[in-house]
Amino acid sequence: MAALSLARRRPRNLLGGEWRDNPWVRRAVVALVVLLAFLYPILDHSDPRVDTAYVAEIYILLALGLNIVVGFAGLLDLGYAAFFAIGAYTAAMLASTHFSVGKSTISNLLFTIGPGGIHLNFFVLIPCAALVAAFFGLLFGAPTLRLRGDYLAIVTLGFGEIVPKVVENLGGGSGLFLGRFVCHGALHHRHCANGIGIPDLTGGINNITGIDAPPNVNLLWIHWSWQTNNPRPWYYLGFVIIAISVIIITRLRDSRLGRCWVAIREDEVAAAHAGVNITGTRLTAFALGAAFSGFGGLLYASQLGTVSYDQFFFSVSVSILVMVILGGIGSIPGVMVGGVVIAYLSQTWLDTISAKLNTLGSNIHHAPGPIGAFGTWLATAPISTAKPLILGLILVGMMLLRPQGLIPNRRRARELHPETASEAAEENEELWTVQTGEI
Amino acid sequence: MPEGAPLLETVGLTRVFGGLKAVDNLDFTVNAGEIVSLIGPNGAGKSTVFNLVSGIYPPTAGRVLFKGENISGLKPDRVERRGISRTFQTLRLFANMTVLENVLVGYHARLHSNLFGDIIKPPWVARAEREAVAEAKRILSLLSPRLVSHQDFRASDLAYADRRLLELARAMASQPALLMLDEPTAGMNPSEAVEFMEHIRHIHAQGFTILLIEHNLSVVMGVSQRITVLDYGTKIAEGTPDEVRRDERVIEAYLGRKAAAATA
Repeated sequence: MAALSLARRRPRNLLGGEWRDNPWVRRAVVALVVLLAFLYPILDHSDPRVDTAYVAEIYILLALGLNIVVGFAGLLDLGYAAFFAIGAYTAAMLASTHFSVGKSTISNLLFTIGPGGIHLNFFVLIPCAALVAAFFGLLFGAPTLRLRGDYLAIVTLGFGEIVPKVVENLGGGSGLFLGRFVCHGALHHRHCANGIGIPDLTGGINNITGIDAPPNVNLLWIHWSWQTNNPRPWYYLGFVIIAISVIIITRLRDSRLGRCWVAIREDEVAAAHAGVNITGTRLTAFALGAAFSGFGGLLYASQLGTVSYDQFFFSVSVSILVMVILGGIGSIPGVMVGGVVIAYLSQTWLDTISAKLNTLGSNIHHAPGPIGAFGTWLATAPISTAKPLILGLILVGMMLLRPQGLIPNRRRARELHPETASEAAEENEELWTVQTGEI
Repeated sequence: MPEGAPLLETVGLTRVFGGLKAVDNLDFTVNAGEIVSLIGPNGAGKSTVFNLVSGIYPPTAGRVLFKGENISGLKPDRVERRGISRTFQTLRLFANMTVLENVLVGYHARLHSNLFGDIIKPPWVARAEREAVAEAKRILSLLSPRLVSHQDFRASDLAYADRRLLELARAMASQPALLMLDEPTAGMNPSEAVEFMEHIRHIHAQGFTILLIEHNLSVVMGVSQRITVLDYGTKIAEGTPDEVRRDERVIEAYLGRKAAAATA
């Protein structure tokens, strides 16, 4: 009887029934989704739409990374965009015309350095961006991860604001020029020092432009070039990086380390007494989370060809957090869906909705009375600029109706909803059947 | 560690909270292979002693020596890696993890792996993981067949006495040299408490050294080889159960002055 009631206690989820537990069903669903995602750019001939899908991929990477921090380790990070920025600027600084070095050019398969800038091979840059972001994750995490909950959230918020500001101020400008080594050859055509006497590292308000795209790939039947306007090679690049990331993250979740994250979330004191190094384990989560946003930043910067410090402020951190919460904290497929939804919402759906509503307004503004007045207002209402409002509404709605997210992680769902109403109802029902002597 | 050699020693152990001396200049010893109990009325400082040893907070003064080394002030995970495991007065399980996972976390300190190993999962990491699972199952079966048959249930779904056993299993998983159990029978009914004490005897026979906090005197008297009695943070008596039972100051601390006079 006890076993029976336990077996029936399952949190409800999007797909409903228990067939979701069947590993073959799960595998089939995953295979189908992967296949569709793989075929999508071939089936869809619209370049802008595939381009949107690429943006969605970047969002997915960011959501996956933040999910390690927030979902797995249970640390609220409100400044995650800082690592996105660091990933993007790593790409911008190590693979562009930004830094002119020396007078002659050294060139090989892995990198080119010379007056024309530092150009790291894109495929070398992939691990570099992740490592640099992870390094900054350690740097920011080490002094702060002793803090808990609200305090940590505030500190990460601070770092999130500091990083873009530092990037802004490490750019060129007038001031004392001390360091010659970095922008030796660039002295003539660029203001080569800023207010604090450091050479132009980040481009500051002038941004960094001319970021390299990946070199052409000619492997067997694959001939990809990222120099054209075709977004498909970009899409597949993102596809491969996401695939590798998901494999890595799944393994981490199921590893000894993943178990420690859950244990710390459940009971920090007990975890410590089981021999888990609390700060170290959290720091690992922070650094790993940062690493994946490094991938995101790299993909973002290389495709756009330019980065600007003002693309990485608080609102970006919040958007990423929304993806994670919307999709389902701690759930890998969940946060991926969250990333896709937010990407499409901000890239196309809001504009579509806005246009439809405006059309509706212009159709009804001749109507008499308040309806006509409403139509006149609606015809020109800038709904697509109300993105933060809509994101906010989504957050509030999700927290009220479905705090566990679209595709919830089972364990996290239990943590949020220890005894859901349906479980209580089931229990009552059971008691009732016992009393009436059924079964 | 040879049988009978001092395993855990506290030397002048003192902890002050505000103006209150929770533990005052305490010296006591647990020898390898023993079951020692720490008893005393409510607020005597028993749990504080545990917290000082396991590293929840550092002592205000004095030292904790384990295998002759000073471990005072070490963080809990370091203490655990040295070979001291504990349970808590108020159950602290990982409620939403399965029974087996709970024990695996306890085994954690014995697993040596790094980030790289966790991601790539080379054969030796996979083997270590399999061994950990086998060992966790062995420990569960040592304590109760119920735990084995419920190994995939989440911990919070177990019956209360089984949850207590699970916490014990988690503490045993790291094969500690010293097991510290903080009121393990709290909240149990008398027959459950008796059964639990059988478990303690059983695991003691397996070679664990055990330090026990207990409230239930009848339980303690039956199982311990030596007893240390605390009152107001100081040691008021020490010895075999029989010696402690007759000690006037112990009776006084437990029952009050008048009762002590009456028995005298």
